[in-house]
Amino acid sequence: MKLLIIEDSSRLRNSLTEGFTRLGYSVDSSGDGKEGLSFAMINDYDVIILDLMLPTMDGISILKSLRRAYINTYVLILSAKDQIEDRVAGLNSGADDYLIKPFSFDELRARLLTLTRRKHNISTPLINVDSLTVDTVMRKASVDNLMLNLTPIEYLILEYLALNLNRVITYDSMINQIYTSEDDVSKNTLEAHVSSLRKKLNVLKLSNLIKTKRGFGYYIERK
Amino acid sequence: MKTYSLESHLSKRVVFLNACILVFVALLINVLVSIWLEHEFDEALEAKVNVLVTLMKDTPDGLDFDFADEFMPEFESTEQSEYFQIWLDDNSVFERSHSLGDDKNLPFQKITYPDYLYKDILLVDGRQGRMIQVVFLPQIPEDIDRTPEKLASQKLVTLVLAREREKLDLLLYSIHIITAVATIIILFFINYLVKFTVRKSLLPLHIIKKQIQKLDADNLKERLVVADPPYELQDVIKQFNYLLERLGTSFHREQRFSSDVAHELRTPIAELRSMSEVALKWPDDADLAKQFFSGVFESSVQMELLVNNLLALVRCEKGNVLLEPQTLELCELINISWNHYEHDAIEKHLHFNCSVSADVKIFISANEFEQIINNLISNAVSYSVDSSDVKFYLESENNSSDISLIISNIASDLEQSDLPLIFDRLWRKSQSRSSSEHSGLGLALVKAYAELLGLKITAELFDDKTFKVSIKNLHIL
Repeated sequence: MKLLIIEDSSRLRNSLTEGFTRLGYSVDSSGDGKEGLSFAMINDYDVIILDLMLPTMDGISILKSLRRAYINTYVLILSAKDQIEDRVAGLNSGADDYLIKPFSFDELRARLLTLTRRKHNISTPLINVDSLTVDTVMRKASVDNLMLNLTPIEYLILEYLALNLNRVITYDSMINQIYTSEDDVSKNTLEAHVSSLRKKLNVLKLSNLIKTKRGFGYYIERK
Repeated sequence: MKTYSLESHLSKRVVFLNACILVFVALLINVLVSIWLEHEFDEALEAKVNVLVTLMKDTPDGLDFDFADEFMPEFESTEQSEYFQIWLDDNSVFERSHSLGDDKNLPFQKITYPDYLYKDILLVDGRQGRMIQVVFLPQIPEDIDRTPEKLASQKLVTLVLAREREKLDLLLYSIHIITAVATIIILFFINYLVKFTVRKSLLPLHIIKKQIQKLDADNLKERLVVADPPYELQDVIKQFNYLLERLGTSFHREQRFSSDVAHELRTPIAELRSMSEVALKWPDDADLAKQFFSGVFESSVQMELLVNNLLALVRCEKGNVLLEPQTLELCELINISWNHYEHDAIEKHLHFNCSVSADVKIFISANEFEQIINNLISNAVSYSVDSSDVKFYLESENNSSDISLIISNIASDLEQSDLPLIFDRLWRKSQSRSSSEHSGLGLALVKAYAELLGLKITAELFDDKTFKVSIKNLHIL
């Protein structure tokens, strides 16, 4: 899952970035309104965490700019503004959720997962494909209850493919989703991670789970 | 607390006063009418007794009473009889009316000539009556000589005339009853009329009462509206609406302040909570904990700054500050304050320019004045354009003796519309609340300290974005 955090408090931004990165998310962050908007315009994120009171450009303006540009990325507003009219204004401007500061890190994460499930049209945090189960909350995968020992990148690849069943995920899209904007990643690196993941699946007799569409990308097919 | 209705109180008072006046007038009319009727009755008695007196003649043959019953039948013995009786000087009865019979007498008493005596009596037939007693000298006919001897030898005669007065009493009784009934009816009418009038006159008060009852914290924008208000209420309504406006503004300001304080505290608390939770998820990661420790410290300092400034502001506004005025060298004080912020100023390549003469001394409470200068320099350094000047100088307004201390800097972000808000608590030009150095209370504190010291603070912004703060009313020695 790829996140963008636009928050002017450097301490809050850093702690969230650190926390979500360690949980296996791919996180971009910005403390400036205009810079955050350009990140959101260029990259494809699962969810944007957006503060309202920002230098150079406020959160509501960023949100309206995104929606005007037909960018429908899920946006969760994270603000100290707790008045009903602030929440209504935020949600009416196109936000998908609103969380008031101070907040629980776990609650924020749960809300992000809910938005992700809504995006991929799934109702539970568990994704089942044949004997494979991906737990998006615990961020782990198992085959017939046997746990797969995956690296964070391998998990992200598997989760992204599982969330997009029967859809070919292009190499660029996969790289964009798995890595942050600061990472310089080539197709070969991605292929190396996919190869490693396939080997681990092969041990549990799921060698053909991740398929390659030559010249396009990867996909998981549900029969 | 015992409450009473103004309408009821006013109505009762007016009705009571009207009733008193009415009863007094009714009693007065009654008394006057009674006196007048009795007077008329007595005059009729007197007229009749005078007629009888003229019938009495002093002739050479003796006293002659020329009375004829046929001309005055009321003295006959009937049910409606009147009575008279005449006594001579020696108290012997000279004549009595037929209505008295032969042996009945009317009462009489000694009175001096020529007095009249009126008296209520019980008539011989048992009716209530009234008598007139007169003492007189009988007339001497014209054809008889009125010699002094004759005149001197004349004897006084007493005449008593009596008639019933029951009709008069009945009339007086009827008048009393009619007056009493009329008074009661008029009182009821007055009561109704007074209540109606008072209610109608107090209608604007009822309207105001209803409008005030509807007022609460949610609709302080409402105003009292009374169509065509009476003169006495015009100023009340005007003043009340003015107070409502002030109350609404203060309430809104306090509401906004509370919300702003909560908002200012939410972000550092969110920082602390987020850093703590993330660190607790990976308790074995010493690097992560170390990284967040400095963050926790910075957030704590930010909250401490906010709380300290808020407390200082409250102390200032309540006047809970002990002022200790002393002589200060203004230039030295400015230089010392500048040194606190010199490091930041150098980073922004700001030029410090203080043209205040070294010998200028002021008499003021040092701590509070230093706070003013520190806050103004802190703001100037933080919000000045890089490589610009921060100036301190003295200026006399319109060549008068009033000298002001001026602090000016270039503030490119400020607009004219910001000036009315610039001294408000927690107001900041930038919406962002990421700064840990400023809490938005600096200029509010400057204003509060200035008011405490009796100084006047004004802010101006010129077209070239020069932001000028003037400190007036300085006591320069």
